Amino acid sequence: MAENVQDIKRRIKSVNSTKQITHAMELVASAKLRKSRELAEGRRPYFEAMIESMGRIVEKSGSTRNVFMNQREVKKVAYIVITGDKGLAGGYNVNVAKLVEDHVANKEDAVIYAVGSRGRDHFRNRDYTIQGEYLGISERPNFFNAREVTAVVMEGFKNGEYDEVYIAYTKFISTISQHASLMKLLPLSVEDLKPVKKAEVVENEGKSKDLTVMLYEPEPEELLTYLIPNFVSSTVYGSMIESAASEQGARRTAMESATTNANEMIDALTLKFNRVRQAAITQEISEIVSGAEALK
Amino acid sequence: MAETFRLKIIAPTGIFFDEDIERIVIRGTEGEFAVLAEHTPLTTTVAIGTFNIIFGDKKSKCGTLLGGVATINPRETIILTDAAEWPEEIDLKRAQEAKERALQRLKDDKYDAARAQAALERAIARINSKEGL
Repeated sequence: MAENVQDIKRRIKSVNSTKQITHAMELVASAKLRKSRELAEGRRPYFEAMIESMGRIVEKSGSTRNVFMNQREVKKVAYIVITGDKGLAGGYNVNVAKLVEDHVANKEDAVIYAVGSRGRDHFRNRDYTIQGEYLGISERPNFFNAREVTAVVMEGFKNGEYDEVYIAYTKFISTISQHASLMKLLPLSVEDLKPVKKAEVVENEGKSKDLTVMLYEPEPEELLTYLIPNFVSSTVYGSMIESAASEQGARRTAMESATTNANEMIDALTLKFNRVRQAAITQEISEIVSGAEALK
Repeated sequence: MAETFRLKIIAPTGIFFDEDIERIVIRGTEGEFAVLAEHTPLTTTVAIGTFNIIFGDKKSKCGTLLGGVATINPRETIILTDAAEWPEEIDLKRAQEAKERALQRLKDDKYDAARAQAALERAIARINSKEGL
């Protein structure tokens, strides 16, 4: 019985206040998660319609001469790393950073664009080249944030600063499961657009038989110069939203288990507290009894 | 009642409009044009400007499109836009301020002229759509 009653009481109190904080954070994260999920669902129609028209144009114009579709020899690689601005979200930030680190073949040939301060700090501490940082947007990204990042990256790609661009984000699978993933953003591969295109052709045949040849005004190539940046922005935006939802999901799970742990700790401490108290009482009684015995 | 077709206006944040209509007038980059049912298939770019929808019952509705691509099929038209707004959603005062600011910036070499130009076009489109109400 090393500890006295007062100490244990104090510990219970402190664990309890921590529990209240983690529980509050859990509730906040669930509320934010709901909002992020709504955003993620709102994006889907735009993205699907975008892929559809891209696929059609690519098919029509055959092999495109567009810079963003040309594969070239890979010397330098850029990574857009989407993490949160805050910690306390379990492995959320670390998983994304680890994934990128594993993928990087050579530190000198990698360029990092960090969205979220956690990812930036991680790579800055490890002496990576950080070409751009976008802070304070991770939690509620909007389309214009995504476009800003995309514009910078596409410019760099066009100027040959790097030959491939990857985006690292956290895929939102369900409220309790999120998965860090790495996706190639540039150059765009024509193959990616093909499966969607096939499905769409089948659908069109059912709808209208007299599908005459689609006219393009201006030329398909020119339309692509509008569509590609928007397609990439939309992909980046989607990743940002999914990451935001994942961050809240991860935080909710982390805080939930923290609250459970706190409860367990309180239970264990209360048990200990009662034992110590009982032991003190027992000792006192036996002292009194033996004192009384001695007086006889 | 004239023939109608489906119009979908989709923005990155969600579906903005999805109803059967009789006619829509849009400002394309190649000039203003109207789309009716049974239009020949066409894909074209949409400029920053106002659009006007006329429903089957001759009621009309206008709004602002901030650039995009329109895919026109005989029975369905899909407009993918960067952003779309109804006049109710537009803050006239803010738009006018934005216009002034853009005009200022166009005179000044410090700012990106292309961006200022785009901001100016957006502001003008918003003001027009608000005043057309």
